[in-house]
Amino acid sequence: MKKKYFLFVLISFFLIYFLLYPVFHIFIQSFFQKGKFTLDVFKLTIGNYIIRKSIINSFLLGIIVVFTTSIIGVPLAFIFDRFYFKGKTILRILFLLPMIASPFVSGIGIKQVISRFGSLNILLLKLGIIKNPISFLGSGFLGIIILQTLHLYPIMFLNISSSLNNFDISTEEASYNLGASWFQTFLKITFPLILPGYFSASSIIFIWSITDLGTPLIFEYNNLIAVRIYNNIKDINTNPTGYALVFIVLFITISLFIFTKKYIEKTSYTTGRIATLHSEKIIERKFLLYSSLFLLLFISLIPHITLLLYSFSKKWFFSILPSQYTDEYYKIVFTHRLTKTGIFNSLIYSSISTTIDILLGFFIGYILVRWKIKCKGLLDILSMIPLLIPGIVLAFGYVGLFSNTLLDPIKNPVFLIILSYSLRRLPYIVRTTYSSLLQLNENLEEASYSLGADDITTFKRIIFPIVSPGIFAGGILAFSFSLMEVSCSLILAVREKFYPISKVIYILSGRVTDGPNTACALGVFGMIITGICLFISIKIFSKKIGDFFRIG
Amino acid sequence: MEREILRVENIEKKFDGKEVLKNISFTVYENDFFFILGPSGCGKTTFLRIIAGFTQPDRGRIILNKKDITNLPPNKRNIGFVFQNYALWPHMKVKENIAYGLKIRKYTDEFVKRKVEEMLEITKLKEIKDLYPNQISGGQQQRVALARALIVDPLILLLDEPLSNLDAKLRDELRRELKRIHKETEKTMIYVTHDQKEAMTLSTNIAIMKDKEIIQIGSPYEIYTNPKNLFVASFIGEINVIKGKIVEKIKENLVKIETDEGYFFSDLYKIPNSKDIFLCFRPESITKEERINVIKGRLKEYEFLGETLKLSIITEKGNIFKLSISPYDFEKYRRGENIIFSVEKEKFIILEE
Repeated sequence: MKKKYFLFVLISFFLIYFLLYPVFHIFIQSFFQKGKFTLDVFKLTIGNYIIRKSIINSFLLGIIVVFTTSIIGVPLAFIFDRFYFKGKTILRILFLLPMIASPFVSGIGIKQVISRFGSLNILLLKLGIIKNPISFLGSGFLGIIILQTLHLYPIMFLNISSSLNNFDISTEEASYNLGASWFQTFLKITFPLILPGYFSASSIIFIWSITDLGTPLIFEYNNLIAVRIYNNIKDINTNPTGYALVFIVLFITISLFIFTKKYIEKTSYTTGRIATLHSEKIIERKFLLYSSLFLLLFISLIPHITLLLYSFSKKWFFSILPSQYTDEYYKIVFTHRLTKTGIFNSLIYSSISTTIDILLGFFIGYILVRWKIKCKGLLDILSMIPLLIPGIVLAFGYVGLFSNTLLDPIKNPVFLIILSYSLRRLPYIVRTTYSSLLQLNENLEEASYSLGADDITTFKRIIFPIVSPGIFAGGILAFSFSLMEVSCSLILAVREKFYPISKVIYILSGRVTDGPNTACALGVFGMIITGICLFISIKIFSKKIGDFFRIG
Repeated sequence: MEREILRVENIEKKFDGKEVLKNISFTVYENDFFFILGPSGCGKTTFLRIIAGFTQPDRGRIILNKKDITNLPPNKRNIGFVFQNYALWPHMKVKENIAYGLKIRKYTDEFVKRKVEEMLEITKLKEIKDLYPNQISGGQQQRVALARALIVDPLILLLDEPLSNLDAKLRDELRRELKRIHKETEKTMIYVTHDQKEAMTLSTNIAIMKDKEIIQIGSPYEIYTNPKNLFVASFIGEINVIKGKIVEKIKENLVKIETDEGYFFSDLYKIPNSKDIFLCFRPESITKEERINVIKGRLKEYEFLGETLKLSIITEKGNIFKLSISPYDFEKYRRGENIIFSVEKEKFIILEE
């Protein structure tokens, strides 16, 4: 028993120190000056017109992206749930593809399309639709909206699909039966019943959108909270407004999270899908269906396609498509010092962080399900806290807390990068282990013990084989997320020799001449690895993949 | 003259090329409590869903109240439906679930309120009207589903195995409730089930379904005493069967039948086409007077069921017969003992091979 408590205290202390303490530090720095409570920092922050504008813009961005992802994701989920058509399984996977490249990476490609002399303007000019090129990008705000929408709608799609999957069709039939029209039924029955899933997806998308650092940086759009925080890191020790901004982000995230969770608890009525006879209708207007699905798929993959084209283009100037192609940038990716360092670092960081995730996640999950010790609820809460802390907040907290210490990221950020990667994905692994273990009947372990097996044999022969597919799939997903992680990577990796892939892409994208092309080639490399990981996870998790992108 | 309310003509349906309903036709009259009885997977739920409009038939017509509704969407049919799993809306209170149909029809709040109160009274749900579906018992959920369907005054009410999710005691109770509600509301009801006891106790007419088809339609009495074939005979109650051959016509309606248990004499209402027949009798069609139609055997097993004593006897030829006698004779019988009984000649059921 003592051993159990020792392990419990050790894990809890670790999580408190590296998760709660940075948050506490942010809180102290935002509200206390020279040991006294004060709101001066906030007054100073809010009083600044540009910062105020950034806060409003971030809110606006979040709301718009929730709206645009809803317009795409909700109808899509309905089509896939309610209709039967050929190629549905493969199309479902294709619609998840936009997730494989973060908008930060695909942004480099899309700029080539929608810039003033990009493909779209050239096409419109050639077709005679416009006379002068249009500035689609404008300040860059529109570009951020487009890229975030195309990247995030699969989250909406997955959440609504999963709600519909738990939805009893006969509740709708009961409504039709009582004379309600399709619209009345949707408004009064279907929508209220899928609202918890919708709410959860909207919260995730909103938080993701306002804390996204990479995309605005690529579009050089500074009037957003995330960028303001990033710019404040340089003078973190002299200017406390960065802390206030991080606190505001944290406050929004936590409030939204708690509100969503409470709302879902209150309204979560799993009706349970009843095997209604042939509830999937055969669609009659096949041409309309396929053409709209493929058009949407094409649009959502434009960033990826252009990223690919850009990485192979030798000359792409004043033309719709590149006029000359080359594979030299891929050679550079695997030979250039900077890119090689990036790939090597990212693989190391992600592998170690995933291993930590699997071990820590498994232990916590196991303690929560199997051990009968006091205060284990604390561990439950602690392991879920990373969901509340966006990458940008955690990274900022680390910089603030560990500057001029042994762990100073300027000197050597490896430990903090690995830690931030693994802590941010920990809840998913804990959750997977927890649910796998809950399904694992304790009698199975007891039967093994009764036949003379010890702890290790029982773990090896019984527990591990049963729970490993879930943990493995979770691990792969965690690995791919870490590999292309943006916020923590950009903030924590200051010196070139510690750069992970994302930071290398960012640095390269800013270089004139061949920089963006190489960045794209590196982006494609990351995209392929993420794609493979996602595909394997989908194969293992099947429809449950949606659980990774949900609150509650 | 009974008034026709629903007529179903030649309904056929295939799913993915597999036939699930074949040439279904029948008529239901006003105030009927019409049962569709059949084993699981025979197509009865699909058929009910076709009447409700949730599934389209490949062929055939549905005439409701003299109007062809085959192509009408479900929300324009005015047919009530009680789902097997009740399909109550979890986000609405009991009273809101019940009021829904009237609100869709845009009745005034006052009218809706009054009607809901009435319905709560009929279905005895007054106390729980402000609770949510997950806060009430299975039996109460069932009654809410019934109230919700009845309140809009549908032309007919369809019930899809509505008692199958309840325990035996509750099922008995709700069966009586349903009978009372049918009587009070005078609603025409079509009820799908695989439980012959439910069908026998509640129905005015039963359609027996097997493998996509309707085999026989009739009142419970007709079906019990005059089943069309062995399937119907054994699906509705228990039956003893001996293979036999008509060897002699003794006089009008009386025939002599040869079986491996000896000769039997039976009244015959309809001359069968073939001489090879199944001679059947129900366990309760026996008498202890031994004049003709005698069967001798050894008591193999007995079951005391309260209202009756069920004996299972085995003859020298190895045939097993089930007999049903007065429970008060319980102490007269011992296992292994010889038993002699006979079957009244009027109570034989003769089915063609």
